[in-house]
Amino acid sequence: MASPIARRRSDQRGAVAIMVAITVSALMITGGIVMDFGLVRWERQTNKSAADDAVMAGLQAADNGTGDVYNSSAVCGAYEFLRVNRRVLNGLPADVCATVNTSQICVPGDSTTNVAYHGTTTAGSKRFEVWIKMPYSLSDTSTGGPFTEESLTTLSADPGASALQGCDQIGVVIKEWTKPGLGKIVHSGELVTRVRSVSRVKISTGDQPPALLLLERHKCGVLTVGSGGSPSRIKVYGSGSAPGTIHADSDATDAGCGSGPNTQLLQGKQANGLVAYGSGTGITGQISTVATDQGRASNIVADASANVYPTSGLNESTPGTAGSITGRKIVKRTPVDKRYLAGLRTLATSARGQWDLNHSSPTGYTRYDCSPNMATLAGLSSAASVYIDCPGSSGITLNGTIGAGRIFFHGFIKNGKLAMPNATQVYIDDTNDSGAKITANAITLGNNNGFCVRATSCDTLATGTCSLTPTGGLSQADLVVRRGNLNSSSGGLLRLCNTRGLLAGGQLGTATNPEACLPTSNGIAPTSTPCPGSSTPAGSSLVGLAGSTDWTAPNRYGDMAGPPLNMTKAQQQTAWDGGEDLALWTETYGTGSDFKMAGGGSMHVGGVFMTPNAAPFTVTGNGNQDLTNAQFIATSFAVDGGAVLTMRVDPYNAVGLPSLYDFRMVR
Amino acid sequence: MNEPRQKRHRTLTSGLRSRGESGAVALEFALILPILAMLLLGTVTAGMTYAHGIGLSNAVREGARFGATGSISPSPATPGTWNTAVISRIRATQFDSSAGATAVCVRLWKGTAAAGSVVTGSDNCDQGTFGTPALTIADTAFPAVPASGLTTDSCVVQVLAAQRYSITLGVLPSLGGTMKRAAVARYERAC
Repeated sequence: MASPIARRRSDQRGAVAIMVAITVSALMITGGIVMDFGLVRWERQTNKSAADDAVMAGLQAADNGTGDVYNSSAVCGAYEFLRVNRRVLNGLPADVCATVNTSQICVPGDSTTNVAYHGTTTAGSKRFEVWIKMPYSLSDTSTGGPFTEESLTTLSADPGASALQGCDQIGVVIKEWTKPGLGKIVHSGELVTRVRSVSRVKISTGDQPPALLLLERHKCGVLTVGSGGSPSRIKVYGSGSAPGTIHADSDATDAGCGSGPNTQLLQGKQANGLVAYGSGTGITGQISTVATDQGRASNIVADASANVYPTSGLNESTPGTAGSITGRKIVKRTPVDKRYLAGLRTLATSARGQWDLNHSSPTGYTRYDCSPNMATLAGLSSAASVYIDCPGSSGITLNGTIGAGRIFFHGFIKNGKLAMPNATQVYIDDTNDSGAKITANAITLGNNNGFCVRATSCDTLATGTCSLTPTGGLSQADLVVRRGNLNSSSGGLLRLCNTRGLLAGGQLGTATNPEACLPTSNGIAPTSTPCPGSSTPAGSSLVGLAGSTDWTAPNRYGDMAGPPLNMTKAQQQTAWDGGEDLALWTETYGTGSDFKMAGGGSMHVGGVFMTPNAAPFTVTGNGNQDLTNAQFIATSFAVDGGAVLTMRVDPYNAVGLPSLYDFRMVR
Repeated sequence: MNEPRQKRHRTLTSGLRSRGESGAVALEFALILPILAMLLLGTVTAGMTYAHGIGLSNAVREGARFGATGSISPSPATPGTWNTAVISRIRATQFDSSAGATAVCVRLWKGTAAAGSVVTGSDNCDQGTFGTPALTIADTAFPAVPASGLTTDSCVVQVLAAQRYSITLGVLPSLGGTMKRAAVARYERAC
């Protein structure tokens, strides 16, 4: 029998190993528990980061440049970013994103336009449930319950724009369940986390139309005002609650941009050369550029802050406080196209039918030759249709009045003094019987000559100027020119009251050369080849008006969206399709003096002048120039010769800037 | 009396054990030591690898955000200087003395996944002291362009970073490999 001492000695062999084993096991279990809970926190942070990226990417996908919120694109954009950035979520089902509806627009209060994604997936021992919603309400409890932080004062006071009912917000919620490993010892159930990210965009009501929307993408010298020492100015006043506004799309990255003389994006040339004044409601004027948005130096954006600036003042008498040029994302021609292209295509197609008429016996018209009896034409009513068939090289020269509503000129207008007070449709087919060009100009007016639509007087600008007041009823005309230019020299008068002008540039419509050069969808101006595929451009459709110009757009309505009209979007679109507020449209590309107005004559224009490929559109001379209510969309714009332009765009009669801005995360 | 006898026994047995068992304890400890060392080294190096992994995840995400908000234009910020800045930012935000051994690939993609292209000059892989085989944009871990939510005018920042790791186990061969982290962010400026 072993002694007690020997027995104890043998009993204690391995005690160290056992103690180490127990200690190590305890340590490993503790470490495992720490890891379990630590990993859950790490997972939560990873989910939050992925949700942050997803809502920002999704919100930007909602912006299609039109001012509407494309919520299917937004939700599905967020879904894709989530899957790419958080790979454990790669198995999420497509749900509503199986087919992205890129034309789906969020309409506040219309639940049929809501887009809500919901999916679940698993990855190992983890389960995930994901919600992506736009519109998203911060009080939404359908994403796994309420979020308690909403009761905190700092957030409860920031619910978003109630009128938009969440259409301005996209929310991503990720819920994760994790089965603990060794953590089960202290927590038997699954570990659950839930995170949320919400981003919000501001939506303008589109009531801030720019007097000048300049489409050049990269070059400088996009807006130039005279030369140093000349009295040329551009003053853009506010109208109602809308401040004076100018926007340039150029990012000023062209090699010609710099800080030296005449190399800036905006050139005021002298103190107060280019000023945007504030609104009567206290909103500072706005001059914005893409270059500023992209961080270009101020001395590249403008020649001097004293020359080019927005101000809170209403006019020169109340100069207010000068502000800075602001950044804005690229606008492009999209908002103008969206409003008018469909109606213009209808007009161009209709005109095409007129060009194809038999010149000798035009159906629906009463035909006259180069020398009609003007007394007879003056006695016609608005129901009559007159066809002047005079395609010779001498042109059409008529003095007097044509009372008809529909007037077709086969040939080009050369001088004369012609009033068409009842005109509703005026076509100028400035081609010969073979359809070939006769001369460069569709209308050419020398001294003391005039061409006047919807006006009884065609003598001087001083009497009977076109009214800018809404007509109420349908009282307007369309002027469609087949190929040539509008041209007047000093002493000539082009008066187009409540008239929509379409200069078709000789483009008759083929697969590669669309009707009137109108793009089939949104255009890509500026471009020097606006009609790709046209190897033999037969016309030009430039504007060179050195005489007096009196031109106002169709203006049946004032505020269409507000009382008493309260028109729906569809009703507004119908009005725009009919030409409401549009004065001129030509896709023709031109440089130098190709697009020029005024000279020594008077100028009274109102409405939207869409010359997207005019580089530049120039206004010159020191005559009586009234551009109140005129809006110019061009590649670039120049003022010289002492012209002082006073512009005041009526927000109800012009195209507003696209209105999604200020993308930011709010939760 | 029992008490003095017990004291004598304790003194006797203690003396015997100290002489007889000291070798056994040392032997046992010697047997356990490699396991303890393995656990200790493994815990430390695995913990460091874990920390590096977290740092790398944060760095690529922050780098992608930096790239998404940083200007690629106008001059002098060209695509080339932009991607250099993004790579530099990723290394800086690792807060890791071994960041120089991190390989980083960056690219700016313009357009949709189906119809888009790399912004010229924006793609770049900086290997640092990563070694071979080098990290490339062709790596299967390089993040994909999201399948929707993009337009022909939009851009996407794609980032992939990789770092080699080694978990030292002392008595057993080290466990090593390459950890890769990727992130994608939508570029928030005109591009």
